[in-house]
Amino acid sequence: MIEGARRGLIAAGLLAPAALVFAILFVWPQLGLFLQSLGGPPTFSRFLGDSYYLGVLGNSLLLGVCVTLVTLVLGFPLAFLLARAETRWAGLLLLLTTFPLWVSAVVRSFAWMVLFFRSGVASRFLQGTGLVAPDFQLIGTFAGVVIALAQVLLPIMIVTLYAVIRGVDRDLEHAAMNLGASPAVALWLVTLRLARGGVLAGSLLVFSLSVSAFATPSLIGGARAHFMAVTIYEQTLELLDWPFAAAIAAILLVISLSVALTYGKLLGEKTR
Amino acid sequence: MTSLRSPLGWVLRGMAVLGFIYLLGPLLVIVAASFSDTGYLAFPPQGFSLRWYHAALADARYLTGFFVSLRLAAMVAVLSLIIGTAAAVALTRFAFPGSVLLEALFLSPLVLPALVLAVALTLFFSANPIAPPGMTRLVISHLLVGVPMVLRVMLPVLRRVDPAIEEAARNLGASPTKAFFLVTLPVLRPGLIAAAALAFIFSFDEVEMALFLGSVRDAPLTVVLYGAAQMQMDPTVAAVSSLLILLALLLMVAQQMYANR
Amino acid sequence: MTNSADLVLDGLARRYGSTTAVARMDLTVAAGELVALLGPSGCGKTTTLRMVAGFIEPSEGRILLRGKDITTMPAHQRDTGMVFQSYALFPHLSVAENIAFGLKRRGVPKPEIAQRVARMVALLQLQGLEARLPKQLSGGQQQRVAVGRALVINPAVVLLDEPFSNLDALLREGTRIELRRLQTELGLTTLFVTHDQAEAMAISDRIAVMNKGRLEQLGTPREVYERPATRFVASFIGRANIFVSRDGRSEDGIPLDGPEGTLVLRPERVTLDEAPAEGPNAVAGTVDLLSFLGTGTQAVLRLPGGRQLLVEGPASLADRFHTGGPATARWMRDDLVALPAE
Repeated sequence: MIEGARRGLIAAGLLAPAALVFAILFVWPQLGLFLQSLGGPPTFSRFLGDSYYLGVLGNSLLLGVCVTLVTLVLGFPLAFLLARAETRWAGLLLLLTTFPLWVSAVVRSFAWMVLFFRSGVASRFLQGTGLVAPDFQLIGTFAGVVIALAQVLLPIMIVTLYAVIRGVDRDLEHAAMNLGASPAVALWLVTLRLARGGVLAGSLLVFSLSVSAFATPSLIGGARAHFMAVTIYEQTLELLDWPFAAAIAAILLVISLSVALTYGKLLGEKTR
Repeated sequence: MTSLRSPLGWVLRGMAVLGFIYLLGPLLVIVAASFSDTGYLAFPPQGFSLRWYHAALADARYLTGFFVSLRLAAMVAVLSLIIGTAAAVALTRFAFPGSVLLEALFLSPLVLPALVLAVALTLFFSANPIAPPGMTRLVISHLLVGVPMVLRVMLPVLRRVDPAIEEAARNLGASPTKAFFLVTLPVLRPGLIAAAALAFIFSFDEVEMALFLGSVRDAPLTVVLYGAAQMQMDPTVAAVSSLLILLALLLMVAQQMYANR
Repeated sequence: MTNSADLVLDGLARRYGSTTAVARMDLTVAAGELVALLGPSGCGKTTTLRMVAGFIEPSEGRILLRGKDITTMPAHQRDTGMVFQSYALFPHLSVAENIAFGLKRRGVPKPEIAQRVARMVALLQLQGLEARLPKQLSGGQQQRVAVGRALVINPAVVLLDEPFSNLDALLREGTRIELRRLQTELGLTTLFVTHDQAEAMAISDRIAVMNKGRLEQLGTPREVYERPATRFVASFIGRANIFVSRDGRSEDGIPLDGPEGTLVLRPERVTLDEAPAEGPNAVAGTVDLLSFLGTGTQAVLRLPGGRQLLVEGPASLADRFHTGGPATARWMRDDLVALPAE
């Protein structure tokens, strides 16, 4: 047994590099962000008093809701089947499902651009239905951003749901069916009820990531991409209005933090 | 799976197939389009040619960007692995006040928007130019996400390892250092590989921080691609994207084979 | 035993690719009868039970419940009540809600549900625990809730999957006697999966011994013990010395007076003494091990041919013999039980 003082020294030594990185690159800059946004001209009131910027905020929140719903609806069946599969292919399928996470969001967004531009397959299909104008393209539309971003974030939803569903003992579903519940009722009364916390946690994670997403909204949304992250980018690198950019970033940070806290609490409940 | 014989089972299966196509289809589309023998991006592809691959490899921006990304990701992976694993060992093997809070702090960048981190770091570096713009700034900025990624993998791995195996090695005559290298490290290996792979791939794929903190001279591949994709629908971008998809596939297979060996 | 067959397995089989989990199994369980599916892990007993419950689809064969073919019926429409090895209690529902679950699915009116749940709670001595969640119960209480939840719906057949394996030894014995009493009183047709032969012997009307997916023998506990049908049954149910007798000698040269062929000799049928071995059904050896079991003493006798002969006798054996010393084993002609030719 190593005596206390020496153990303390070892622990401090092991922690020092990480602590240094976080103190200098995380705590300090994040505090700086808030100070920067508070100093100088009244940035927050400018943001909250301008209907354009409020619209940007609303746009991002709506994007978050839409993307979360799409990933939930498409992600749950996949996660459920993968979690309950008994074949040896299940492992390979799970791996393929997470494969897009290995590919940059820029590449994945570009794939959607190929489908979305005026003569792209998806846009031409919509033109063919006659529901849209002949020169319609999905690029630059809100729907286009939702479709592309939901695909980019779907693996994250699936991985979260997969873990949660795996945590629900299969015999609980069997027991419910044995007692007369149809598969749908068993899924509703038992699996979904027990996975509720995790499903909500996964949804919040995807929501938070969509609200703050940059690459996909910027590439698919193009010049008409009025989203939070894109606006921050413009204010920082194009308009050089740093205090204002800091204020918008701070608002985004507050949204993400409050979502993250709820998320942590939900996952904590699940493991309780 | 008798339950899947039910109508519900068929609905779930249908939606899963749809989800699967949605998830992987676009990647196949881009690969197919990259082989098109047309002057513009076409899907379904027309003809077959490698001309866009030739164009991509002849373009110095892509090649330079690729090597910048490779250097960046390698450095981030190695540094994140060392810093993160050391911190994970401290957090799991030593009890000290505030360790729970510290762990939460260390993991928090994972739930914060990359763009917010990027803006905060941009402001920070302009006020405190402790590192020159370009590679150095990017490496230390990426550590902010790389280290939490390593922690998220290694903390549960370390908690699962039975400390008794190290004690057993000691009991059988191994010194503490020997015990660590002979027993603990091999047990941790799959976790370490997964952690390093995650940090590498994050850094290689990341675009937000790279846009804010990189220099024009040291632009990683994702930044070059982001710029090119914004400009026009260039089939060269599809060729480069396909090569990146192939690279990701190789990396994933290698990681799987190495970690499961 | 009555003639009315409640549950019939007719050539039931389950294959996974080229491996056979259950091979063409025929089994009839009469109304009110408790049949144990007994065998080592991987013998197919749980697969069989789950096919009856409807969680696994048979590759072949039929399942009849009260004369109705339920082979392809979805699990939730079958009238079976299962007690899971893990109990599978719904962690988010209270004791009362767990027990009421099946009644609610069947659309039983509320006042009747309350009544039947209360009766089951009283029957299983769970009074006062109705509002508790499963995690707030002891292992024994959880087990009783699982039993109550399966019985309250009056299923046509009760399926028990190792229901005692998560209880400690002391509790296990009391619980199984209690369950047997309940089963007889209510006249429940029951299929009971276990790997514990003592447990199967203690509470079953009949035992179906399974090995490698095959039904090796079906009979009352006494039948399978005293007249084992195969070498596997002989060695899995109780302990056995097995000889292959030809022309009055075993394969290792022991003179035997009994039938020809494969013979089973139960350890408790063997006596030990100090006299020299003369004639058939007697053999001298060296005591390798003496272990005092409380109710008696078990001895292992090493014979000249190398065989270890199992002997069970009174506690006094330990006083009369010592490890490393000589002893002679003897038995009677009737103690040698021939296995049917395999």
